[in-house]
Amino acid sequence: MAGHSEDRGGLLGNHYVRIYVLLLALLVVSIAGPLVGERLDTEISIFGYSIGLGITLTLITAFGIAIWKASLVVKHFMHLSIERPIAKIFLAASVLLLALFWGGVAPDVQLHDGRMWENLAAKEAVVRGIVDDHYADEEHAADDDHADDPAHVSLVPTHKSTDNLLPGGYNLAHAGFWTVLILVAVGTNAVAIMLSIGVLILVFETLSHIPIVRRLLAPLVGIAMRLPGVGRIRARLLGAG
Amino acid sequence: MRPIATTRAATGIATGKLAVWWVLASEVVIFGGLLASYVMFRLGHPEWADAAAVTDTTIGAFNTFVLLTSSLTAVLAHQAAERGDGPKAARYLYFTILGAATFIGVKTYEWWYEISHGYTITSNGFWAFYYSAAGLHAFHVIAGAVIMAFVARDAAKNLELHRVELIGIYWHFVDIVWIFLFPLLYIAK
Amino acid sequence: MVEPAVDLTHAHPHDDHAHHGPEGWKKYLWSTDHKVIAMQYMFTGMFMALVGGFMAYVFRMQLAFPGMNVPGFGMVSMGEYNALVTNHGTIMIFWVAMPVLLAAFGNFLIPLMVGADDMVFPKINRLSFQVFFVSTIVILASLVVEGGGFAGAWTAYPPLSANETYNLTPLGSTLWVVGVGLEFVAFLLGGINFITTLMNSRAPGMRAFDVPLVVWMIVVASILFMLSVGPLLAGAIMLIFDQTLGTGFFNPATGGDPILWQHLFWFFGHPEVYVVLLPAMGVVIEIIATFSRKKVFGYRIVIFTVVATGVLSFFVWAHHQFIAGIDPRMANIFTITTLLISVPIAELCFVYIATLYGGSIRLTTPMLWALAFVAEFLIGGVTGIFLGAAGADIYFHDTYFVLAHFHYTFFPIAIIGTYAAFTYWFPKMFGKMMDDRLGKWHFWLTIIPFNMIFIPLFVLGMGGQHRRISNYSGFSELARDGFQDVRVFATVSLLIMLAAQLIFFYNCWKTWRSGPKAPKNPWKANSLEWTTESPPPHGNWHPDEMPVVYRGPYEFSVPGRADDYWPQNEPPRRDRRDS
Repeated sequence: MAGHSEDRGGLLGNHYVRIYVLLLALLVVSIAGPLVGERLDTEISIFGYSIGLGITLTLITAFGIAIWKASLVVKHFMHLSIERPIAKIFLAASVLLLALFWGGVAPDVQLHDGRMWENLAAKEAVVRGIVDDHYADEEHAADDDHADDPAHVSLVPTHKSTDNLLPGGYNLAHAGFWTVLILVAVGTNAVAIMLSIGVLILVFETLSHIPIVRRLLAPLVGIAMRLPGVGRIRARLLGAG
Repeated sequence: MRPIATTRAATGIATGKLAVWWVLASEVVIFGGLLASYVMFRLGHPEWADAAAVTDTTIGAFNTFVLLTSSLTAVLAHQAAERGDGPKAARYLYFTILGAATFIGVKTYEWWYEISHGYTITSNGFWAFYYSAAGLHAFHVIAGAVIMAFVARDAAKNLELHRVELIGIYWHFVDIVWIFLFPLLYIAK
Repeated sequence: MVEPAVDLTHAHPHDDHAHHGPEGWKKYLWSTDHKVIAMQYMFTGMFMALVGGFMAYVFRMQLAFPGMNVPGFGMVSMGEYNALVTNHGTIMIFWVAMPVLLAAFGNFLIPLMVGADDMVFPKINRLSFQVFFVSTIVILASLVVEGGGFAGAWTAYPPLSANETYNLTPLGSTLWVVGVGLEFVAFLLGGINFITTLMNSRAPGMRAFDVPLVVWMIVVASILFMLSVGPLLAGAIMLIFDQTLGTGFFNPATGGDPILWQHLFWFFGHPEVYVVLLPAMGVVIEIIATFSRKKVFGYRIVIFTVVATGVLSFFVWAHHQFIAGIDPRMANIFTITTLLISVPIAELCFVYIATLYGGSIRLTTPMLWALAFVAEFLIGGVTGIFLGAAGADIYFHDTYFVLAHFHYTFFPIAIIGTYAAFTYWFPKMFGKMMDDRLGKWHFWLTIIPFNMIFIPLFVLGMGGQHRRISNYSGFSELARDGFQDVRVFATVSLLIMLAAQLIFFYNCWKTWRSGPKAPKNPWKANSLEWTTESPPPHGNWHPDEMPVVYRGPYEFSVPGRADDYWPQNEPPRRDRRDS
């Protein structure tokens, strides 16, 4: 925005280059982290979940640092931090919508088990992929589907069970899913309650134009309007009219 | 001659910049929809790790370096444009376009190598997402570079300098998408 | 919202106002004037409405008289029936409701109502229409290519849509996806323009809460569209790759998941309902306020309600998938959110009724359409409660009940709302007054047959009639109990309704030929578009007379004034702002 360059003067150039150097350093860390992580086999147990230190290190260095890098670019290169709130609100909304999308879809697509259902096709695909790697091409060489499929024959077998992919495995996904859903439920209920109050006030206003209703309600209105804040809320809702 | 409407700014944000924020908001959900789908499958399909192990981290890291550098030159171009130095801004923009060209060149080599070794888009789910997400991103890189060439041509004549910042913001967004694609497709094995 | 920054230094950039843009036929190819682009959108949309209406005629005839040689089409094979139904849905939503309600009226009204001379990005606006026009050609081409039009329903669920050995339309289905994708790009470009125009180029003095409600609603609809369409664009790319390259994003055999498409589609698809609903509701409230000569009841609460509707609309998408194999726990949550969203919509209906109450009501043609919108949409909303509740939906799913329900929502939106807006703003758009008597004939001959078409379909649905069958005579359990008579009744009603549209076209033609010239402000309304000529010149106002706003748009029947209306740009006699 205007006025930005005046604020920092000649330091600006150094500032951008400093951020750039920091970004490069983070890039090195994000590559080095997983290299170390792949060689770490230590597992610790927290609350009964066994957590691989290596995989945790990999995930944190890969994605934690990606978020850090992105926030540096957003803040210092895109200058979003000094932008008007309206731009931040809408960009944040678009990111939050993705969380909502993930929360609503993951229980069906990411999980292969649910209440009274299981995704047999996906489970078979997982088993097929892992089995292929273990027994290389001996058993499946005759299988036309896979014989000419390099992704299944030329790879080094690795043990990657689902539980190791995230600390907590499916349980974490469950926890995330329910957290999102509870937030949705609480949020929408709050909105509905507020809207219902609005509807009630509208109905009340409409009815109070009918003389007999007005006469009947007059004592109640007198009491209601004396409650703290009611008059103000009513004026706010109906606009300054 | 411009309509009066284009000269107003009731929010306090210049019209062009406001529109760029809107473009980014819609781009976030486009890329986000694809990447969210990828993450769901990746968490549900541990066998994809074997396919992910094939991708070359070195090439990915080099491309990240290229994009970060081009982001730096884009922001330096914005700085020059803010000081009214159009030719300097244009020079920095040309550097950014050079970065885009390098990125695409490296990407071409990488894909050629992978495809010639039989890892095509139909090989498995991972490769389908790999080529779709990186391809959509590469399409944005190319589009950004083309627009940037027009902006740089004007900026060299000290015209429309405010556009340098707008294309810069878009470019940083392309950079951010890659910052997330890099760990998703290359690092997390 | 931020107070407008009145920049007086830029008030007169039009020193050379003789330049009016391209003339003659070039005007329709290269004009950047928002009114020309609005007309282009409107006429393209109306042409597509004729295409979609013709499709409805053909498949309703096939349903009523199976195996009949339909006049104008011929025999309807099962594949053709499916293609007709699919493209009827696609065209009516994406090529009729969206371009006419959102793009045409958005383009026409937003600059006029906020007191600007054009959109903030006139060239992007033109590009938006050009992309839309290409998408129209693509979708029309998809109907005539080898193999025929796409026949996998407008929701395009895989594997039917993804695999050509199932859908048998190798070209049609790909062109269909490409056409829909291009259409989304066109509306993204248009939407950015709408939002930025409202936010940045309001007339001096116009605060956020001085903007007419229809503009608010069109802009909120554009925001909904922008934030919801992204995942489906990504999904469209995945679907095209599945169709053409043979990837397996949606194929369970290769580790994909067809449910993912349903989520991607409905994550966009449900907000899309509100994208087309909100502009129609905005049109209706403008008309009701003007013809009740009464201030809109609770202007601010309407805006807050609309925003709440928008937010809630993102939380309800999976109610389309209750029997698609989603987790039953999700069905619980989405039932709750779906029932919740009826609250703000009901609230808007209360606002309409409260605005009407005690007003001095004038039953002109636009007002009749607006009142019909409220009445008919209520039926659509109330039947939606059955479908939103997972327990009932399991029985109603994919029956004619669903079909009748969403036609009771989409018909009021796309047809009644459009006719209301068209007849209300016709004087401003074309500078002639329409014939009110013919308009009322057209109104009654559309509304009554409309109910006669779809109320019988509710009955069919509750009788268990499945939606996607082209010939019921092969199913003894569905062809019993005189159900066929009900279908014939609905089809005859449809023919009456289609014939009644001839009155509308005759009215337009007659008005064009010999209608009386429209004054600046025929309805005595307040908002800014009524302060300029009818039709408005290029630039909308003379550059030295750009409007300045002093009050909100609904100051009707203000006590102490001689006139019962008070235009937004009329300077107050006192210094104090009146609001």
